[in-house]
Amino acid sequence: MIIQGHEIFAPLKLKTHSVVVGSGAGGGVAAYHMAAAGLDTVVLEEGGYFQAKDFNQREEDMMPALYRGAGRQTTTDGMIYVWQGSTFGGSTVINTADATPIEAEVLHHWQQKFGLSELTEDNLAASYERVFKTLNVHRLEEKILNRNNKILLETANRLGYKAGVFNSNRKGCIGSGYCFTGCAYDAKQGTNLTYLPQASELGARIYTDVRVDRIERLFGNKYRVHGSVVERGTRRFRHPVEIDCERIIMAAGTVHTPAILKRSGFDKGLPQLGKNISLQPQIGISAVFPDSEKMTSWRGAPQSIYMNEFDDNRAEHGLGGFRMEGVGGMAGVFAQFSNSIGLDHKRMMQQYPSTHYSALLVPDQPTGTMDWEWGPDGKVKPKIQYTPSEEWKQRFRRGMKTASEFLLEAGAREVNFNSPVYGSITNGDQLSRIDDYPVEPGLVALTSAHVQGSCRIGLDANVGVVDQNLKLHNLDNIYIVDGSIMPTTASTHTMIPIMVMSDRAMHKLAHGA
Amino acid sequence: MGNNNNLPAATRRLFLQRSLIAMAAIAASPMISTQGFAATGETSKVPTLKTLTADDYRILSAVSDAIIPSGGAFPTGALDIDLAARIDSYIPPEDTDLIQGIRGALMFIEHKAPSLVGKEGLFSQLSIQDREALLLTLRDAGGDATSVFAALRGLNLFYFYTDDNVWPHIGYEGPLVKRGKPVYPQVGS
Repeated sequence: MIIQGHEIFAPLKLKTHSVVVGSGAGGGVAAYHMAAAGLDTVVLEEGGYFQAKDFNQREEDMMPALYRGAGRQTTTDGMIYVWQGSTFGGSTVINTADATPIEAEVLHHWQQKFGLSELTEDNLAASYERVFKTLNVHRLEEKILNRNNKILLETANRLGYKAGVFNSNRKGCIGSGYCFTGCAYDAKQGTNLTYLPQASELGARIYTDVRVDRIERLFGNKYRVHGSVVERGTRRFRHPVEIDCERIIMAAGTVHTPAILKRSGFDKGLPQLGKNISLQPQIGISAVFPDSEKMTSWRGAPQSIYMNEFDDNRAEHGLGGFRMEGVGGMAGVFAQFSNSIGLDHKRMMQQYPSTHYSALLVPDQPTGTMDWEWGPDGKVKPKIQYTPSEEWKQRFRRGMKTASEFLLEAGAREVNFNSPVYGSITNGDQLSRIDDYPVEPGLVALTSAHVQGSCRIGLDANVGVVDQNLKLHNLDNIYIVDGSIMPTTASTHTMIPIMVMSDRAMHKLAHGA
Repeated sequence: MGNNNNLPAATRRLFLQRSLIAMAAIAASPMISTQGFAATGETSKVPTLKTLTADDYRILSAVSDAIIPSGGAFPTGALDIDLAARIDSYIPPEDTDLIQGIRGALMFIEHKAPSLVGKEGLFSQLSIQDREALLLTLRDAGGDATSVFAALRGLNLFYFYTDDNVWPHIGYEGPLVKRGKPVYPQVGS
């Protein structure tokens, strides 16, 4: 049963066994497992309930509807946009449906550095099988690969670089190109179309437009969830919510899961709460090709091919290096990928059909922290504090040089970045300019679509917030199953890693293992 | 450029968040002619605004015109689609921080920026060439000046290139589905 906020007309009081906070990659999987185990389950999602019929393929309408903070959530210094879904299905509704596993080197890194001996490829294999089956994960079909992405593969092949086609969780995709604004054809198999409907069929009650404000600990390791029914869009308070339960499964994401725990006073004894955040920052690149070379970046799978020659994944540090991935389908956002204005900018945009767009992804080490402030409404508000390390900045510049060289080699006439001050690169002699490009707030716009950490797994409370079964170290019957549990960045795309980790822990919990 | 760090912290931070300004209400961008700009200072020519003041609208129109002028590679510019009114229609009235941030940036551009480059008078009174040159100077100045430039540039480019009237000029045929905005079902408390 799915109950939307506007269908609630009075204060809501419920009793249940399990409450799942959040309906994205982690929460959807958890809700399914709890319901499948026959446990009375309530899912609370702050965002609204939107379906394919609501998605109009326009950025200016869909980002406020589907993204946390309308897509304007940033680090406190404003340098990095932190994109998160905030809707029924969470980020699985707005991602590009790329299905990448936790890299083997990352698991080895977690084992070596954090002693996470249970998180092996063998122990996760059954979860991969279940998740892949539910999501219909398969290699992207050739017919929906567009020129914008294929040029990465062709150029890589010519240069002898490694590159490949993503696996994806689509079903019957027509290649409309609007993954970022929700799939109007129900092709993208997010939790909104898979785990959540299945959980609902099994008896779970899923409430949208309900925000969790805090959790109260009751006698006997039981809990009361205090929340608010909110107005869709403005998210203004409408009615109070109280739910008594025996188990809480947090899946509100890397930013809001620790904020809720903090508001609830559960941070005592958890020194790592809100720390160790990875953003895996990326920068948008535009490359103008000759008119005859039509990229048509807005049609076909927006993000289907990666160039991974410069990945540097090792057990010593997990993900490293940098990589390029094609991207498309957001004219309003991508128009900003240069530093020009006036007639120069119009000239560039007239070449939109022959402009290639990609993202340069540069994995980071978990150095960010979540700070808190009390808002005027008396609630803790999360603040993402993040400063890239010098090592990261060097790698970032090396990545921009390599990407520029690569795209010029592919035939681009000029290469631009999402920065108001970085100038165009039109030939190889200009690459040294990149050494002087500032990586500072206000001078470059980075994006994080894969925020992780803040409640990382650790063997005890001194090093982590949850154990290897994703149970909170300092309290019984509270689990965390979202991206916040990752000790370091898990993969270049985080939906599958989150689902697999959630599946393993929730499957065990549901089966009493 | 010694005045680059004088913006209120809230304005500076908000304007670093420049690329994806929140959108809420139903948009119906009225068309005005390019010639209409000269008259936008007159209250009678200001369209019905949801959030911005007439003064905000006038300054934002001057900024928009400099960032996306008419003519050049394709005829349509910011004034031709009344971009300032379109932006106004998407600013959530309840987002007071955002509104204050926009207003702070517009005031900075209008009153402070000209003096930073030795110009007298208001930004909106400068010729389009001078306005563009001033914006490029802000871009290259660093500090808050660059942040304000980036903020206003991002705001204008986002809403200009998401407008149906612009798409034919950039070879983009637009969405495959023809639908209105998603419905936000509401009831009173």
